[in-house]
Amino acid sequence: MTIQHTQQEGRLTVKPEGRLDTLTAPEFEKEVKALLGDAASVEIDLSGVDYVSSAGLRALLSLHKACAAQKADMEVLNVAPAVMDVFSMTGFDKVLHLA
Amino acid sequence: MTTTITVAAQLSCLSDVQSLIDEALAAAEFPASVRNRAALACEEIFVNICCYAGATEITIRVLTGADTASVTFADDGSAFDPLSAEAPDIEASAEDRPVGGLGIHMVRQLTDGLSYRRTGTTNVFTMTMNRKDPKP
Repeated sequence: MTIQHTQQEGRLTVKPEGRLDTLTAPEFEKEVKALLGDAASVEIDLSGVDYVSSAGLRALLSLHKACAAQKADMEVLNVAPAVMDVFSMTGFDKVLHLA
Repeated sequence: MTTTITVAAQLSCLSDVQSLIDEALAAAEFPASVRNRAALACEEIFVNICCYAGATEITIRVLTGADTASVTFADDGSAFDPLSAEAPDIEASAEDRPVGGLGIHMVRQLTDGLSYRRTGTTNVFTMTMNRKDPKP
C-alpha cells in the first residue's frame, strides 16, 4: 500500500493505493491520523483501492470518528463498485459521507 | 477439481491463500464477482482462525464444481468456530455504532452456505458459493 496526500488551506486529501485489509489497514489508519493535524476537511480518495475488508472498514470508521472529534468533515470519494458492495452490505454507505 | 494448500496460521500467509483460491476459481471459470466475494470471506475467516484458534497450521481445500465452489479451512487449534468470534472494538463507546461482528456479518452476506464441525482434534470450516451470482 502506498499513500499519497496533499494539504491545501485546511483541506487534507489522502489517496491510498492498493488493498485495505488486515495487513495494511492499521498502517493506513496510523498514517492518516498522523497527517490530520488541524485539518478542517478531509477527503479520502479510494480510486486506487479495489479491496476493503472488515479491517479496512474499521480503519475508515476510526478515521471518521477522529475527524468528527476535531469537527472536520470526512468525505470518501471514487469508491469502486466492489468496495461499494462491501459498504452497502455493512451499512457503511450510510455511516460514511460518500461523494 | 480440488486444490489444497497448507500454510502456517499466520496473517502473513493470507495473500498466498487468497491467491490460491482465486486461481482455483478462475481456472474453473467462476465470475469475477464470485471470486471477489470469496477473497473477502476468506480473509475474514482466515484472520479469525489465526487470531483466536491457537492453531499452528491451516489446510485450505478448494473444491470447484459445475454449480458451486467450496473452500474448507481445517486447522489444528483448539475447538473454535470462526463464526463465533470477532475482534473487539477497543475504541467503541456507548454512542458509537457497534462494529463487533462486522467480519462475520460480511461472511454471511458474501457466501451461500457455511458450516463448522469439530473432527477429532481438527476444526473444519466450510464456505460454499454458488457459481451464479445473485447480485451480478
